[in-house]
Amino acid sequence: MTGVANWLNQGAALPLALIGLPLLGGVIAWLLGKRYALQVAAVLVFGLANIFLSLALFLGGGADVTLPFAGYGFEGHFVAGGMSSVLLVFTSVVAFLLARYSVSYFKGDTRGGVFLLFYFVSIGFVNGALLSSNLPVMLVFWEGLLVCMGVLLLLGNLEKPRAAIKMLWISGVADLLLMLGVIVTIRVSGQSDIAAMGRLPVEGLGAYGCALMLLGAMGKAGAMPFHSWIPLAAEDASSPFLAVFPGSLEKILGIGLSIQIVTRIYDVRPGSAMSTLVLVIGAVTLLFGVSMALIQKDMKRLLSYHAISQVGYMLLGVGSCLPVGMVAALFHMMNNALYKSGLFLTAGAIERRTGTTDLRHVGGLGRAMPVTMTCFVIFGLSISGFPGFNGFFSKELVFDAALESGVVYYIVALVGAVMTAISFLKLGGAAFFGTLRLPRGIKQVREVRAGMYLPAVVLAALCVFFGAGNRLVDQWLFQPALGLTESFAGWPENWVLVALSVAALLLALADHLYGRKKTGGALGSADHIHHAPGLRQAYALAETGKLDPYNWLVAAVGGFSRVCQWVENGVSWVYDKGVPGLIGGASKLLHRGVNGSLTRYLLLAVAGFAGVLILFLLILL
Amino acid sequence: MTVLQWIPHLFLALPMLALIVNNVIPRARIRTTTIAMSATVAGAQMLLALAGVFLLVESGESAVRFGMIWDAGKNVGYFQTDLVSMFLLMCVGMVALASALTALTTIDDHRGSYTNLLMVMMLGLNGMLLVRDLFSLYVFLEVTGLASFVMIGMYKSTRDLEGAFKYLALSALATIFILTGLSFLFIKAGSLAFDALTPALFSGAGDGSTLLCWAALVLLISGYSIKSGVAPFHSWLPDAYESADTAVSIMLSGIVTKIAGVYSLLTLTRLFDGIAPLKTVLALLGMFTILVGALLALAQKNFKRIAAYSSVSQMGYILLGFAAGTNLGILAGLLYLFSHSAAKSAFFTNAAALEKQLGTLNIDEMGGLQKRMPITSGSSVVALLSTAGVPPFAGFWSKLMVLLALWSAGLKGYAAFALIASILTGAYFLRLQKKVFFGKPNPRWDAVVEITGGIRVSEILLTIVTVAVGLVFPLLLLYLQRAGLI
Amino acid sequence: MNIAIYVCLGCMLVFGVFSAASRKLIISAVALAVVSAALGVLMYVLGAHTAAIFEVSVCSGLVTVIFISAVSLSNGDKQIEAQDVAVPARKRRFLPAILIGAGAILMIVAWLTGFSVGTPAAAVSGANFNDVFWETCQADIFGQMVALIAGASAIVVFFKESENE
Repeated sequence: MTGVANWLNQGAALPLALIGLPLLGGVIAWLLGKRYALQVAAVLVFGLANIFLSLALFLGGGADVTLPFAGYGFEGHFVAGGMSSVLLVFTSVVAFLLARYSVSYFKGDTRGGVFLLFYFVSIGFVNGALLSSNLPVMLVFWEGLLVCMGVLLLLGNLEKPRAAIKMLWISGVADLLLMLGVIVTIRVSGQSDIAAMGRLPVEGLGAYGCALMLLGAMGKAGAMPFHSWIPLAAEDASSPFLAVFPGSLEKILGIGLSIQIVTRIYDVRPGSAMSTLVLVIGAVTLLFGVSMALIQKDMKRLLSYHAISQVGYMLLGVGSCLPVGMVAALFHMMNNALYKSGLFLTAGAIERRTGTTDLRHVGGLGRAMPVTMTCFVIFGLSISGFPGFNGFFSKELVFDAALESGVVYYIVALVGAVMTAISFLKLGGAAFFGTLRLPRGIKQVREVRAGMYLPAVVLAALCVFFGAGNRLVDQWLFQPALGLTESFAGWPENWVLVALSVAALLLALADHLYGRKKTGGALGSADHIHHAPGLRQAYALAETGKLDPYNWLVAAVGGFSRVCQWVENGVSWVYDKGVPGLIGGASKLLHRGVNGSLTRYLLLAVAGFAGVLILFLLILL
Repeated sequence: MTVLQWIPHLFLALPMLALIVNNVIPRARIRTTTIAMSATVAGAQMLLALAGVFLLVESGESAVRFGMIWDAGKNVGYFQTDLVSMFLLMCVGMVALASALTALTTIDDHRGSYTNLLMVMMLGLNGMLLVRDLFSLYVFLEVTGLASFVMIGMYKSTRDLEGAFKYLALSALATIFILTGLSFLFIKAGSLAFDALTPALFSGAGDGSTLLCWAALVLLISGYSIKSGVAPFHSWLPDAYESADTAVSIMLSGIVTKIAGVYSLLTLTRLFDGIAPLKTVLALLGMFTILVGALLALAQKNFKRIAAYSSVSQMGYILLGFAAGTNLGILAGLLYLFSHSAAKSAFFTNAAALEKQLGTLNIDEMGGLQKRMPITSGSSVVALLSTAGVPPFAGFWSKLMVLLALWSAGLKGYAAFALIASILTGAYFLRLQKKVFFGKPNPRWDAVVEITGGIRVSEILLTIVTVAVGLVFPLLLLYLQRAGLI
Repeated sequence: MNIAIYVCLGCMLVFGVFSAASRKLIISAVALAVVSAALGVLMYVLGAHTAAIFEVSVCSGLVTVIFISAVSLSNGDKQIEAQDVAVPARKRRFLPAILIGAGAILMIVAWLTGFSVGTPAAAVSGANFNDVFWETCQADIFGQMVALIAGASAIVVFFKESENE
C-alpha cells in the first residue's frame, strides 16, 4: 500500500486515471446499453472527466511517473511533457464531442453499446500511448488500438468482413514495421525510453530503424501504401467509426509519433534521404488521395479518400524537418481532426435521416437540414483552405515548408489544394444545394437531434476559432508542444504564396462551374476530369484495385501459399502414395512368386541353403 | 527329492499318462472329456513350469538333471532343464492349453485322435527341451514333426492333405540337412552331447574335418531354418497353417516352429558361442524374414494366411534377439517368443471364432464385426497391438528388449531396421482390423453372435496374459536382475 | 573296403529313386526293402554290427512284410494306378536321371579326393550293453518310445474310418 501511496505522491494518479477511467467509462456505457438517457449521462461524465484530467495535467506542468510493473526490464514510464499533454487535451475534447455524437447516432440501436465500449477503450489506449515514454509500452497501447478497431469493423459486418480483414492486414503490417523499427532503435541506442535517448544519427542500422518507425507511424496515420482499407471501411462501417478512427485518433497518434521520431528520437536533417522519403510519401499520398476523392459519388467514400489525402499535407510538413514544417504538421493534424470528423458527422446525419450517403440517390438537403448544411459549409471552407479559416493557416504553413524543401512538392500541394476545392464544391453542391432528391421510401427529412448536431456545431466553432485565433492557439498549444520560441502564427509573410492559393481556389470554382454546365448538375461536375484522356485509364486502373499494394500483397501471399501447398502436396504424396506404393508393389511382386507349387518351395529352400553357404563363405574369407 | 526335482519328471510323465488313459479307457466313456483332459494336462504343465522357473531362480542352481524313472547314478545327465527350458516349457503349456480350449469347439470328429496327437506333440516338444545331446534333439524334432504332419492332415480332405504333404516334403529336406550336418559334426567331435560340442571344433588345422564342421554349421542352420519357418525357407508355412484345423494352427504357429526351429538355432548359438559368422548369418536371416513376411502379409486376403505370414515375420525378431549373442539378447528373444506365442495364439483363436460364426475367412467379405463380436474383436486388437509393439502390452516390452540387445551388442543397423519394419507390422494388421472388425458392417453378418465356449475362454485368457505380462514386465525385469540373470 | 561302401551307396541311390518313381505300390515296397538291405550292409562294413542286424531285420524284413500285406489286403494297388499324373513321359524320366547322375558325380568326387570318414569307434566299442542301454542312452530310449507311439497314432489317424461320434 505504501508503494501505491508513493506512486500517488509522485503524481501517478493522473496518468493512470487517464488510462483507466476511459476503460471504466466504456464498460459502464456498454452495460447501460438499453437506457439511452443514462448512457448519455455516462458519456458526458466520463468524457468531461477525461477533459478535466488532461487539462489538469497540462496546466499542472505535466508529470513524470515511473511504474516498475511492466516486467521484462521495461518500465512503465509515463511522461506528460510538452507534446503529450497538448495532444491529450486536444484528443479529450474531440473525443468528448464525438462520443456525445455517437451516443445520439446509435440511439435505439444495440450496436451503440458495443461501439461506445470499444471507443472508450480506444481512448484509454490512445491516452496510454501518448503518455508512454517507453517505446515497448507504447507499442502495447498502439496494438490495443488496432485490436479495438479490428473488432469494431468485424462487428460491423460479420458475414463478409472484408474491411476488417484488410484493415487488420494493412495496419498489422504497419504495426509490424513499427515494432521492427522500435527493436532496431533500442538496439542502436541501448535505451528503450524516449526520454533517455539523445538524437540518434541516421546512418547504418539507425537508418533502418528510423525508416521502419516512420513507415509504421505513417502507416497508422493512413498514408500510402497503407491506405486502401479506409475506403473499404467507408462502405461497411458507420459514420461514428469513420469520424473517430481514421478521422481523428489514428492521425493524432501517427503524426504525433512521426513528429517525435523526426525531432526527438532521430536526428533527421532537412534534405537527407529520410526527409526525402517522407516528403515523397506525403506528396504521393496527397495527390492520389485527392484524385480518387474527386470521382467518388458516395459521400463517405469521398470523405475517406480525403482523409488519406490530408495526411499527405501533414507528412509534407514533417518531412521538411524544419520548425515551420513541424508546426505546420501539428496544426494541420489538429485542424484535420476538427473538420474531418466534423464532415463525417454531417455525413452521419444524412445517413441517419435518409439511410444512405450515395449522392446518386440523395441530395439537395440544404433546406431540410439547415444546421447540418451550415456546419458542412464551414468544414468545407476549412478543408479547402479558404482564407480566414483554420485550414488556410495550416495549409499556408505547409506550403511554406514544402517550398523550402523543393518546388515540386509545393506544386503538388497546390494542385492538391485545387482538387480538394473542386471535390468539395461538388460534394456540397450535390448534397446540400439544388433540388431535393430523396431515396425511395423516404418521404421527408428533417434536421437531426440536438445530440447529433451540437457536437458538429461545436467543431465548426472550433474551426473558426482555430482560424481567427490562430495566434493564441500557437502560443498556448504549439509552442509548448514543440518547445519552440518563435511563432509561426498569423498571416503568412509571403504574399505570393497567398495569392497563388487564392488563385487556386478561383481556378477550382471556375472548373466546378464549367463541369456543372457540362453535366447539368453538381454531381457530375468533376466528371470531365474523370474522363479526361490519360486520366481515364489511370482512374480505371485505380478503381479496379490494380494500384492497390494490398492487392499485390494478397496476390503475393496467394503465390506463396500456392508454393506451400505444392510442397505440402509433395510431402503428402511421399507419405500417401510414394512409400505405400513402393511397399505395395514389393508385396505384390513377392506375392506373385508364391503359387503353391511344391517344387518351387523346395527350390526356394535349397536356394536359401545356398545363400547361407555363400554368406558363410563371404564372412570367413 | 525337492519340489524342484520332481517337477521336471511330470513334464514327461503327464502327457504319457494322458496318452495311456485316452487309449485304454473305452471311447464311449471319455468321448466328450478327452479334449478337456488334454487341456488339463497343458494347463498343469504351464503352471508347473511357471513354478519351476521361480524355484529354479531361487535355488541358484543353473539346471536340474534327472533321469526318466530314476535319477542318474553316474555323472551323465540325460535329461536336464535349465531356466531357458523351463521357461519354454511354460510356453508349451500355455499354447497347448489354448489349442485344447479351441479344439473343444472346432474339432467335432476325431476327438480321440486329436488328444493322442496333442499329447505326442507335447512329448516331442518337452523332450526337445529336456535332452542333452543333438541327436536326441533330432529324434524329438522328428517326433514333433510327425505329430504335426498328422495333425495337419487329420481330416483327410484334399486341402488338408496337400498342406500336410508340403510340410512333409520340406520337413524331409530339413531332415536331410540336419542329419548331414550332425554327421559332419560327429566326425570331428566324436560325440553329439552338448558337453562335447564347443567352439574349439571350428578352430584347428585346416584339415578336412574342420571344413566339415563349417559345412555342418551351414547345413544345420538351413535345416533348422526350414523347421522354424524363416525366409526363404518358409514356403510351407502358410499352406500348412491355412489348411490345418485352427486348433492345430495354434499349436504350429504358437510353439512348434519356435521350439523345433528357433530353439534349436538358439542351442547352436549357445553351444558355439563366439563363432562370428553364425551370429551374422542369423541376424541377416532375421532381417530378411521380417521383411519378406511383412510384405507378403500385406497382399493376403485370408485371415489365417495373414496370421501365418505374420508368424514368419515375427520369427525374424526372435532370431535377431538370439543373434545379438549376449545374455540380454537371449532373454529378449525368449521373451519375444513368449509374447508372440500369446498374441499369435490369441489371433488364431479369433480365426477359429470367425470361422465358426461366419463360415468364411476371407477378409474382403467381412466388415464391421466389432459390434457383433466384441470379445473377439477386443482380443484381436490386443493381439495386434502387442505384436506391433505398442505399450503397455507384452509385445512392446519384448520388442524394446530386442532392440536394446541389438543396440548394445553393436548391431545398430539391425536395430534401426527392426524398428522401422515394425511399421510394416502395424500396416498389415491395421489393414486386417479395418477390414474385419471395423469399417462398414456387411449386412450379411447382421445375425452373427459372439462365440462361446472354449474359444471364448481361450481368447480371454490369452488377452489377460498379454496385458498382465505387459503391465508387470518391469517387475519381472527387476526380479531377473535381482537374480543376477541380466 | 571303400569299393564296398560305394557299391552300397550306389545301390541305395538307384533303388531309392526307383522306389519313389515307380507307380506300383508293390514294386515300391520291394525297392524299399532293397534299399534297407544295402544300408544294412553298409553299416556292417563300417563296423556297426549291432545296428546292421537291427536294420536288416526290422526295416528290410519286418516292415516290408507289413507293407506288402497291407497293400494286398486293401485295393491300394489299383488305386495308385488309377490316378494318372499328367506329367509327360519325357519329364518323368528327367528327374530320376538327374538324381542318379548327381549322386554318381558326388561319389566320383569323393573317390577322387580320397574322402574318408574315419572310424568313430572309440566311444562305443567295448561298452557293456546294459550300461549303454540304460545309462547313456536313456534319452534315446525314451525318444524311440515316443517315436513309436507317434507312428502308431499317425497310422491310426490316417487309416481309421471316421466314426459317427
